[in-house]
Amino acid sequence: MTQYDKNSRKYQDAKHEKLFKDIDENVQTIKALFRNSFDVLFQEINIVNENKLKAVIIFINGLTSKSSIESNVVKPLLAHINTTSKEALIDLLDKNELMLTDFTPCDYLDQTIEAILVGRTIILIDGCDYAFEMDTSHWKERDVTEPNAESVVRGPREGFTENMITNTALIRRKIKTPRLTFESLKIGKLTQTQVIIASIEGVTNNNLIKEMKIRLSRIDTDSVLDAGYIEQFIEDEPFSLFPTVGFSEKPDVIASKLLEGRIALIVDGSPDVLSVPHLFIETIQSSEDYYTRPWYASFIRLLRLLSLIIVLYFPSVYIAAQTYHQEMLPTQLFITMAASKEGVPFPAVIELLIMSVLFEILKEAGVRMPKPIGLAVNIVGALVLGEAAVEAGLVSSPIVMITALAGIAGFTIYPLNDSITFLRFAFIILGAVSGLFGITIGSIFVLIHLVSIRSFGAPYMSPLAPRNKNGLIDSIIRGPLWMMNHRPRAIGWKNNRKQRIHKLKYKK
Amino acid sequence: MLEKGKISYKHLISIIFMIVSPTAILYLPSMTYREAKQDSFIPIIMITIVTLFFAQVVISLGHMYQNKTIIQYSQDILGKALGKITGLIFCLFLVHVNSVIIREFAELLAGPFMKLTPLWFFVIGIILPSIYAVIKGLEVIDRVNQIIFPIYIIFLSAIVLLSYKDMDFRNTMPVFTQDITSIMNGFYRTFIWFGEVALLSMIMPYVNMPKKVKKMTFISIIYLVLLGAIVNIAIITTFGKNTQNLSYPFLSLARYISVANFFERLDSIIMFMWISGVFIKITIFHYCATLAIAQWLELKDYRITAVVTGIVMAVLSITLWSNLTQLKNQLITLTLPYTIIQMGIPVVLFIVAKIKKGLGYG
Repeated sequence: MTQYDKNSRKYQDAKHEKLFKDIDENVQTIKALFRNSFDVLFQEINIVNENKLKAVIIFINGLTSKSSIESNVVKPLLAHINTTSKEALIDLLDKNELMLTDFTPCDYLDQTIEAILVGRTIILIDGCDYAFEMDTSHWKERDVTEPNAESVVRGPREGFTENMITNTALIRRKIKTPRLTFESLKIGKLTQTQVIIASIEGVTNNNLIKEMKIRLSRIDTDSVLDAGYIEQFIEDEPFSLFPTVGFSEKPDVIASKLLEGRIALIVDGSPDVLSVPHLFIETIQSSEDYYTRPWYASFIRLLRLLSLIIVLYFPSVYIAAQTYHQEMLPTQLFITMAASKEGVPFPAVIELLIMSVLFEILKEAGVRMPKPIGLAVNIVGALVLGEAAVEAGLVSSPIVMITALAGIAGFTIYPLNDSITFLRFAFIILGAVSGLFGITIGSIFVLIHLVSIRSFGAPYMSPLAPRNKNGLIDSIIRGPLWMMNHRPRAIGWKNNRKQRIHKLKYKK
Repeated sequence: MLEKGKISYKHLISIIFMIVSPTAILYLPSMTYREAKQDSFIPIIMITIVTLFFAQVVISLGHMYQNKTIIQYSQDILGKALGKITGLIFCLFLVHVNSVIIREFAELLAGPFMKLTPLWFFVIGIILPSIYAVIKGLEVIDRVNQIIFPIYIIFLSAIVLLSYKDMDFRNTMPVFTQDITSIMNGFYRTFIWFGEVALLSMIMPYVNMPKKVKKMTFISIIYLVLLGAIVNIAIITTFGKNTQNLSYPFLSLARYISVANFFERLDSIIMFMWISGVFIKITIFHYCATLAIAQWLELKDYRITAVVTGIVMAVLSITLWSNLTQLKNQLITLTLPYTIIQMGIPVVLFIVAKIKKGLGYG
C-alpha cells in the first residue's frame, strides 16, 4: 500500500453507508464530516404541534441561491409541515408534489455529501432514513464571450465558459439530435471534477469511446483543475514535442470535430474543450477556413504552411548559409549581410540565439504582465531592444529582422507554438554545428517521429502520410465544401460518407 | 512474423523508385559516359528489358512462396543447409552494398560541400536516423517516403527543367557511332543499380495486395528508365565531352542553374533535398539487411539487430575504402559479384523451384 492510499484512508471523507433514521444523528455525522466549516449551513425547521415534525435543510452558502431555497423549499415545506402528518409529508415528497424540478431522494451518506458539495440543497426529515436533494446551485460565473485566444472575422463569436452545463448547452445548440450523447464521470479524489465524454452515435467509432473510457478510468489523481490535466493524463506520446490531444474554446469548432467522428471532453471548470484524435493537419486549420470561400481559405492554409517553414528553417538556414554555404547566397546579398555584421562582436549563431531568447522573453512578458504596463513593455521591447541593439553594434540588423519574422510567422500557427519553439532552437544549433546537413538530418528525425506517432489510433500525419485521397481535399488546401463528402478516414468509421451532393445546376 | 505492418501496393512505385534512383542519378551518368560516350542512353534502355524480366522472376517467386522473403524461401527451395548458405550470402551482400551506398553519400558531402568536415560525421549523421526509422518499421519508412518522394521528384524535375537553357542538343550527335563493346560495357555498369530491384524479394510479403505488385513494379521500372534517360541526355547535352572529367555530373548540372540572375548556385539546397532521397535508399537497404539477418537467425525481435547492423555498416563504410577513386574503381570490379548475388540468386532459385515443381516436389 502506498503512502498516498494510507493518507486517503486516514482522512476518509464519507462512507458509503445508509443514512440513519434519527435526524439528529444524521446532522451530527454530516457536521462532523464538514468539520464545522462556516459556509455549510444547517437550517432547522421545527414544528411544535402534535405531530412534532422536524426537518433540516443543508446547503453551502455561496454555491446556492438563497432566494431559490426560500421560495422553492422552505415556503412549500412550511406550508405542508403545519398541516400534515410525518408520513403524509414523506409521501408528498416522494411523489414530488412540491413541484420541484431536479428533485430526487438519496439513500447514502456519501451521496448526500457529494450533493451538498456541488451546490444542491439537502432536506432531511425526522424519522425518514433517506434524504431529498434538489438543485438550487447558483454562483457567479463568466458570461459567454468571444474567446481571446481564438478570435475570428467570420463565424460564430461565442466561446465556452468555465461552467460545464453552459458548455454542453452550447454544443447542444449546434447539434440537435438525440444521437449526441454526453456521458459523465468524476475524476480527482479531492476535486471531484466532472468530465463529460461527448460523442455522436453512429458517427463516432465505438472503439474510440471504449479506449477513451479505459484511459480515463486509469487516471488516479487528487486534483483536476483544468482540461490540461486530463490532456496530459490521456495523451499517447507523453514525451513527444507535438500535441496529440487538441483543444478549442469555440463551440462551432468542437461541434465540427464531433461531426467528423471525434470525441470531445468537457471538463468542469475549464473553458478549453479537448478533442481526440488530434491530427497534425488540424494545427494549420482554423474554423474560419470553412466559412470563407475555398480560394482564399486554401491560400491562407498554404500561407500557414509557409509560416511553419519560415519559423523552422529561416533562422537556421541563414546561419548555415552564412557559416558553411556562402556560395548559396547571391553576391549582392552576401555583401550586404557581411557589411551589416561589421563590428558585431559575436558570431552569428550567438547573436541569433540571444535575439531568439529575447523574443521568447518578450512574448512571455506580454502574457504575464499586468495590462496597464503593457504599453511600456511593448515600447521597450520593440524599440529599445531591437533598434538600440543594432545601433550599439551588439547585433546585426538582418538577425533582428529574421528573429522578428520567424516570431511573427510562428503566431499564425499558434497551436504548434510549444513544439516549434523548441525545434527552432534545435535547428539553429544544428545549422551552426553542421550546416544544411545537420538541418536535413534533424528534419528527417522529426519527420520519422511525426509519421510514427498516433493519436488514439489515428496516424498523426494522416491524410498526408498515409495518404488518403478524400482527406487531401481538406488538408494543406481547403477544397470546396461540395467536394468534402467524407469524414476523415483515419478517425476510423466504416461509413464515413457525410453528404451526397448532386451536381449543382442553376438555370440562367 | 517480425514485421507486422503492411504497406499499400500503390506505394511500391515510389519505394522501388527510391531504391534505385538516388545514387544512380549521381554516379551512373559518368560511368556509362566513360564507356558509351554520347550513346549512353542506349545501355539504359537496354537494361529495361533485363530488369523487367528479372522483376518478373522475383515476383513469381514471391507468388509461389507467399508471405515469405528470399531468406525463408531459399531454404524451402534448396533445402536447409544450402538455403542457409544462400541466405547468409544475401545478408552479407545487403550489409556490404549498404556500406557502399553510405560511403558514396558521405564522399559526396565531404567532397564538394563540406571539405573540412570528417567523413565519419556524415556516416554517423545518416545512420542514426536510419536506425531510428528501421526500429519503427516498414510502415513508418513507407510514410516518410510518401512525404519525401514528392519533394524529391519536384527538385529533380526542377534541376532538369531549369538547366534547359544550357543544353545543346548537338552534343548528342552523332548517334549510334560507338562500337558494340563500349555500349555493352556501359550496359554492364548499369546492372549494379537496376539489380537493386532484387530488394523486392524482401519487401513483397509485406505488400497488402500481392496481385498488384507486378503492375506497380513495372510502372516503377519504366519511370526509372525514363528518369535515367532524361538525366543522361540532360547531362550530355549540357556538358558534352566534359562529362567524363566530372565526378558528379548531375551535381554540376545543378550548379549551372541560374534563375533570373539572382538565384544562382542552388546546388546546396537541391543537394540537401537529395540527402532525404538517399536517406530513404539507405534506410530501405538497412531495413532489408536487418530483416534478412533477423530471419536468417530466426530471431523474434529485430530491434537489436537494427542497431548492430547499423553500427557494422557505418564502420565498414568508413574502413573499407581509403578514398573516392578506390571506391569508384572497386564498384567496377564489384559489378560481377554483385550481379551474381542480387540477380543470379533469385534466377537460380526460380529455376530450381520450377524444376522441383515440374518433378512434383513442390
